[in-house]
Amino acid sequence: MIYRLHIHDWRVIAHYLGILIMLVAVAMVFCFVVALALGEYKTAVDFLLSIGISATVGAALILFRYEHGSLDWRQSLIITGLCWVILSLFGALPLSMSGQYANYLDAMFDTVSAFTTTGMSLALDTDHMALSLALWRAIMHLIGGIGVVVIALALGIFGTGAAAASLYRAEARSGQVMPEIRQTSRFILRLAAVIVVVGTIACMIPLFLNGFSVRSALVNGFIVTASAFSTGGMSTHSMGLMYYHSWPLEVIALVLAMLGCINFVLYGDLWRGRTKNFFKDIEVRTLVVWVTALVVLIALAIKGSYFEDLGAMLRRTLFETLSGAFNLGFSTMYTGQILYGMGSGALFVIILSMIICGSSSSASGGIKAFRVGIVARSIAQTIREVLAPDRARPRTFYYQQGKKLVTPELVSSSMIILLLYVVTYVVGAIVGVACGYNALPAIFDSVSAASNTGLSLGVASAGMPRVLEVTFMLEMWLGRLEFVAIFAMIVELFAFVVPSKRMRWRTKKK
Amino acid sequence: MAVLLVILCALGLASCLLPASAHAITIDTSDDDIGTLADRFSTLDDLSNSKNSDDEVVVNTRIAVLASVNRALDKTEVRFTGEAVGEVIDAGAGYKWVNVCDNGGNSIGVYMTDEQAEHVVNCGDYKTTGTVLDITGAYYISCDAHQGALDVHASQVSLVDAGGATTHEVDLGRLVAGVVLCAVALALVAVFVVLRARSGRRGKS
Repeated sequence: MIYRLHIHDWRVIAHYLGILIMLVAVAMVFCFVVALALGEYKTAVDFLLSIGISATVGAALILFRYEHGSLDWRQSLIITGLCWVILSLFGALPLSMSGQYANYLDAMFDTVSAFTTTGMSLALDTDHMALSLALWRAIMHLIGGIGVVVIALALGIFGTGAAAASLYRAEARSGQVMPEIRQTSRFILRLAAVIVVVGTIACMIPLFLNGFSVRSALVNGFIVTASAFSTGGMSTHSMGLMYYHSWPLEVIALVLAMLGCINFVLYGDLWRGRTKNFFKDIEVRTLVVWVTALVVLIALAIKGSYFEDLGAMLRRTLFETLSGAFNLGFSTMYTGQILYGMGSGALFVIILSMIICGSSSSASGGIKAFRVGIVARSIAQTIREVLAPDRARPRTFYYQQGKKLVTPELVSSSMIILLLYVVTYVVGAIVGVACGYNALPAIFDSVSAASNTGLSLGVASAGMPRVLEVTFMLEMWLGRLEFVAIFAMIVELFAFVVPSKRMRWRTKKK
Repeated sequence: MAVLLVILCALGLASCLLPASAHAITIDTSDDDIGTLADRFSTLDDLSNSKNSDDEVVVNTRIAVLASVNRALDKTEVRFTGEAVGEVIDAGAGYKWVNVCDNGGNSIGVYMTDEQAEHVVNCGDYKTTGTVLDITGAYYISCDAHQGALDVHASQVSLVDAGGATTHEVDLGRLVAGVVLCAVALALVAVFVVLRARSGRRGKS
């Protein structure tokens, strides 16, 4: 039975969405100040207007409920599902006004890609993009990587208790470092701040040695760090990471992406000296096995390609594979090099590398190591049950913040999400093929979009068919929020707009 | 007459037996459509197979063709123009990396000497149009010296246009609208604060 949301629920939802839109406006203020400082006055005005529009709409929505109150689980789901859509609408405003995009939809695509930490871009001339605008894309990456709701929780916007916990879970997060969700959110925010500062300094060193000015090294270092740690992939230049011609920077980017791929909660354990929790964690172990397997596979698959030289193999093919595995999206190869230089076997390995990606409660997208680990253990359990004597009931455990039992419910939910990802990959590829693209690039880009990786074989580019553009945007949203919040939002919206007695919708009694 | 005929025959025979003399061939692909990656430049493939090994082939092309990865042009001398963007990056040992782009968002890295890089007067960014360079150099789709990078090693660089500052007009209408909307937003927030305070007092009483 599905309860239809009452008008009171929508007032609550509007109120909190208003607050989140105001948060985006506040984030834009930072870019507005940077634009002024850099003398990018036209862009500064674009930011001012975007702030004005966002803040006005946000403030108007806040007024829908001015009394104190709390949130329930369903409201949390709708807020989480809707906020990623609505924030993208407002985040796209300065991009759209910049003239860097053919139309608003393209700007929206970049915003969705930035918030979901995908990294695909439809910008027309990135090399001449205002730095403040490039900075905005990097900040959107960071907001999305840390989590919109996590940031709001850390700032105390959603209060504490059950409502906060609901929102935290609705944004596909799990696990706590601290007893309270708000404390956990603050820990994640502090952790991200430390990594961004250290990463920026690390990135600045090779840039500075390569002749970049301090200002340029700082801006580029920050953008590469924000992009890499949030497992995004947007850059200040059309050549992406290749622009810098620096292998140390490529290594730093990979390390940052790896840090962004690990469950943020585990850093809390490391901080407290609980190294056992880290090294025994199911996701860490699954990731180690998965990445090792990918490295072996790519080494075998690269035979016969023109990247057989060890240096080229390490810097190009291995980077590309790890970029996919860590959900990074930066590339050290041109599309044609990937398509025709690597061979179909290596290309298949890269597609494979993008499917799983990082851990739950991390900046990365994809199926997640946890689910793959659980499914692998359930397969092992099935084999053990077959081989065990009649009366024996073998049980399988996994380790995550302690030893836990692999239950049928857990296996079932993991399988369902895994299946939904696969369906999304396939649907996106079919739409790509229907739009006239070759199957391989269509599959590659569809997997990349839904797993929020960002690598592309040229399908996601300016001028792509609108149907495919919207499909990829949906894939990015679904992949980021892991389906549940989006499905709940769609069902509730449908129930609100089309009430039906046959479907037994019920108005919630207050 | 017979003597003349014999001399001509001898010259003809000698020209056939002696190795072909080296001469420069210029191929222009700058107006070609890139087309699909698989089928383009078949004519260039044929030409590169049939040309004499001593021929100096220079292909006039453009960045879009180079950036789309062209096996037919691999290790060939190419000539193209492009705008220097970003920074001139130090590559060590007296060399620099200059990244050049076209108007269509395609870019390629050019490896050149410090002296050649001195032609770059401006580097393109939001506020600057970069120096447009005419570059001739060897094109590699997987450069051994740079761990498989797609690049061009310049042999000759000349300046086409120095570039300079770009102006971006501020839209006054947007400025006024932005200020007004920010004021409206502040007013709405003030209303919210007042209403919430009243609601809190009512709750207590």
